[in-house]
Amino acid sequence: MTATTAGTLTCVGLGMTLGSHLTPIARSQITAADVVFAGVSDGVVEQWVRRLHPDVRSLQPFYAEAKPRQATYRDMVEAMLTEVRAGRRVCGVFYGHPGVFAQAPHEAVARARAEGYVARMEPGISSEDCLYADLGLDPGRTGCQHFEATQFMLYRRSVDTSAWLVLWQVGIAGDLSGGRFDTEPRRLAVLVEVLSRHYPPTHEVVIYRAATLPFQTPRIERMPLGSVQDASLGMPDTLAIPPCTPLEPDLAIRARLAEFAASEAP
Amino acid sequence: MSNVIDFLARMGAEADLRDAGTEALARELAEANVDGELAAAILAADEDTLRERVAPGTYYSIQLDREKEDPNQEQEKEKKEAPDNDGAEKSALAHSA
Repeated sequence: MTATTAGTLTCVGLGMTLGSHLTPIARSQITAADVVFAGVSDGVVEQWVRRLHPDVRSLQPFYAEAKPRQATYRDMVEAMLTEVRAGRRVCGVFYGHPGVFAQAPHEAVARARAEGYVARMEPGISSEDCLYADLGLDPGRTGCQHFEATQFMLYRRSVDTSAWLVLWQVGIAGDLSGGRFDTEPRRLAVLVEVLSRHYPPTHEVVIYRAATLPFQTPRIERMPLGSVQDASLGMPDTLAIPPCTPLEPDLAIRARLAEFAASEAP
Repeated sequence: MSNVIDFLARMGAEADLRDAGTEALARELAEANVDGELAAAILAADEDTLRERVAPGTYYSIQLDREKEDPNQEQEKEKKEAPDNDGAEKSALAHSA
C-alpha cells in the first residue's frame, strides 16, 4: 500500500546511557518531528528528551500496577497513531533499541504502514550491546542464546550449555498475570529449578544492568546459580549465564571438511 | 534544573568529562552552575537523590509481553502426537473440549 497522507511515524532508540548513545539520525528525527512520544525507563533520561523537543509526551502514564501490559502497549500505539492520522510527523523515542524487547514500536510501525502511512524504525544501542562491552563477552566466540525469562520458564527450550545464555526481563520472571512489574523468591526458585536441568547449582552466573546515567557504573553481580532466587532483581536486570560445557566437536563433519581442504591443497 | 540535564548530556558525550576525577568533575559542575545538591549527588554517584529531585516517581521499563498462547495450538499438538489407529477419536475429543 502506498502512503496517502502526510502523517509519518519514526521509532528511534536513545541507547542506554544518557548522552552517550544517541545516533545522529535519531537526534535528527527527534528534532524534526512535530510531536515526540517518549518511552524511556528513567525519569532523568525523559527530562533529557524534553530538552531536545518542545512537545514531548511521556508514554509512562499508560502503565499502571495490575493493568495488563498488553493494554498498556495498545494504548501507546494508539496514542502515536492518532497523531499520525492527524497528518503529523511523529517520532516515538524508546530507550535502548526500539525493536529489541519492545512491543509498541514494532506494532505502531506495522499498523501505520498498513494504514498507508510512511513508517520506519531507526536502531539504537541496546542493553545487549552494553552487556557485551561491560562483561567482555563476544557472542562470536562460543555463541549466545537469548530468551525472555518467563517464556523460557513456560516452554521447553533447547539450551546449548556450550554457549552463553542470556535471560531478559528476569525482574518479572514467572508472571502469568501480565500485570506485575516485579518477581519474588518463589518464582525465582522455579526459574532456578528450570535452569538446574542444564547447569549445576554452583555454576557462576551474572546479574547485569546497563548504566542509564553517565556517572553510574553497570551492575555486574556474580553469584552461584542456586543463589539467584534470593537475589534482589529489578525491572532493568538481566541474567547472563556463561557456558558450563566445552564445545563438542562434530567429528564426521570435520572429516568431510578436511577432505575438501586436502583436495584443494597445491 | 535544565543545567543538570545539559551537564549530564555533556558528561555522557565527552570522554574527558566521563573519565574526570572527582576534583575536575566538581570544577566542571561549578562552572556549569549545577545546583549544589544535584552536583553533590553526581559526585557521590547517588542516582536515587538525583532522580528524586529531577524526576520523582516510578518509571516502568518493561516493554514486551510474551506472546499470547493460541488455545488451538495444544489441540493441534495432541492431534499430531495421536497414533494413527485412534487419531480420529482424539481429534474429535480435542475439538469438543
